[in-house]
Amino acid sequence: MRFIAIPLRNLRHRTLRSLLTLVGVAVAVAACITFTSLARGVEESWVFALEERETHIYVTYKGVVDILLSSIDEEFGEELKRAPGVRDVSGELAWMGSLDEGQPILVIGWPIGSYLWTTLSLSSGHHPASGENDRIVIGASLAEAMNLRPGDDFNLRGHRFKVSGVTRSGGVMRNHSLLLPLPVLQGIIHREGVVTTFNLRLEQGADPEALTALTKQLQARFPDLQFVQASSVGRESQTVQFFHGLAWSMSSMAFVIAFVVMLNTLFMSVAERTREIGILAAVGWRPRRIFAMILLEGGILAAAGAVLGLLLGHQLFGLILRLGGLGGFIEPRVSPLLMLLVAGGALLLGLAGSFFPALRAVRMWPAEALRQE
Amino acid sequence: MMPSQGDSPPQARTLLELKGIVRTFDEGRVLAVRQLDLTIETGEFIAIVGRSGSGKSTLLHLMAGIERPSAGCIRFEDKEPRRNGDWAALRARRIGLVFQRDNLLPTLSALENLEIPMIGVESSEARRRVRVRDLLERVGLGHRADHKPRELSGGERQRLAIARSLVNGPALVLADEPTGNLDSANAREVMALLRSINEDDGTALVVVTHDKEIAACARRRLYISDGRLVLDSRFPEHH
Repeated sequence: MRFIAIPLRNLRHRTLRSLLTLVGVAVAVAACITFTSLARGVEESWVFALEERETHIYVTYKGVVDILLSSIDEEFGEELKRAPGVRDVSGELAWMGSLDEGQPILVIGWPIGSYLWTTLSLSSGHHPASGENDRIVIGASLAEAMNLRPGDDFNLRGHRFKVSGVTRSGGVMRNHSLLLPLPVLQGIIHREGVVTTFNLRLEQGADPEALTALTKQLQARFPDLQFVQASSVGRESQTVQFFHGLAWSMSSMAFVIAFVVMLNTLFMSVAERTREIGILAAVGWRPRRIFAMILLEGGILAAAGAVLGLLLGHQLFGLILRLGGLGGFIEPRVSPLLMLLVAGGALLLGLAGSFFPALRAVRMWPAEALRQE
Repeated sequence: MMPSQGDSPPQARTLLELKGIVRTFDEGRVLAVRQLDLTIETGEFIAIVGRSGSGKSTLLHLMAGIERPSAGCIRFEDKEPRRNGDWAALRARRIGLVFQRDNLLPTLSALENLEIPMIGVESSEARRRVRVRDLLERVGLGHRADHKPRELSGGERQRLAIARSLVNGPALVLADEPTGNLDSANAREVMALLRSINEDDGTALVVVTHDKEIAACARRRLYISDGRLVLDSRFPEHH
């Protein structure tokens, strides 16, 4: 019999309690993985969508919490175009709506002739040309899901469109979106003359120093607007910050609960086994060996919980996407480093949770432990 | 081999020495052992007798280092262990302990219970197994190796507990009322086993007992009353 067999035997002897503790750790790990991946997924899908369209600076109305609620007069576009260093400006109206089947969908309106249309990677068809106000471009995932091809009809809130092209992007959000001429979308959602954002493409390209200088200049000139470099949209977006905050708070809470569960389990286990621990000490087990045995019990529970949690996290993410209607907009971003960090955190939790019960066990002299029933 | 009965072993040397030992409980209100001096030599067979609550078991626990003295000093083979860990190291190799209750680990088999004290002492699992099998045969439990303690009779459990105390070849075995929970037939078997440990192996044996028959087997008897050693008698022959 090896030393490792003893803590394993102890855990197996109290199967239900061990399993419940293991589940507690697994839920903490799963929550951490799920919510952190969700936040990263949101951040990355935003950043990718902006990078793909060659936008250097993203303009929203200052202080707006949700970009979809931003409302800027379309006329600002002309003023922005006159700013030095700005090559192209395009207004954008974004609207989160639903199809007749209830499926959520991101609808984006761009002015016909905007540089943004030229950044689209079309797998078939073409983007709407001048005068083609009844044409739309549809994301590849949506097209596949609805079995649509260029030339097919598409209905949106009572308006009939023809699919002019299908776009396939590296970003999940774009593949699930619908793109149509700006004035048409403004009419459909009754937001004539306004856009949610402006996309700025600069003459110097993405040179970081020039970009920062120009962003500051523009910010000073247009104090009512918020100028954000595309690369930091993810960090500065209130939505992304909300998801990161949610991820952090849910994970912390889950880990605190798991720690308390672990502490309780091992304290109870040590209290119930005081006599057994006394026997081990009486037959010559040194305090450090007993300490290691209890620490190992916590470590084994945490390691098994971490493995289960990683598997559970993957399932939980799918469930949240399905139930929350987020499928198609966010992709899980589970990096090996995140998995390693979370699993390491769980292991630390196991060791920390077993440290105090172990300390309590070895502080007792064997006779004292043996006197307890 | 042991010398002939009644003689002091020619090479006898001091194994355990207690000087001015005091043990109190309940913040000093209960005096279990009072200013006790005692020396135990290699190969001795000692019975500690006295009424219930006289401090016999506490004295045995102090000798084993599983209880901490309130005052005084205890030396084992010229060393003075003080910390819990120092005593544990001694119990692992030099001191075997047997209790009135078998104190076996219920989740482990007979064989595994015997292996427990060897973990950390004998690194080879194969050698551990050979030693454990030999001991199980010696105490008549070779056929019960894979049984859990609950599947053994009271006598078998106590024989297993004795085997466990011997597994690392101790110089001293301390037994606290080893036959206290057994019927007379099983008690005789257990005592025969303990005597063979002393006579055949030369292991010093200290037995706390109420049983006059068992006490009569010992060549030295310590009478404890109210925490004091009131009489230390040596007998050349078995009575």
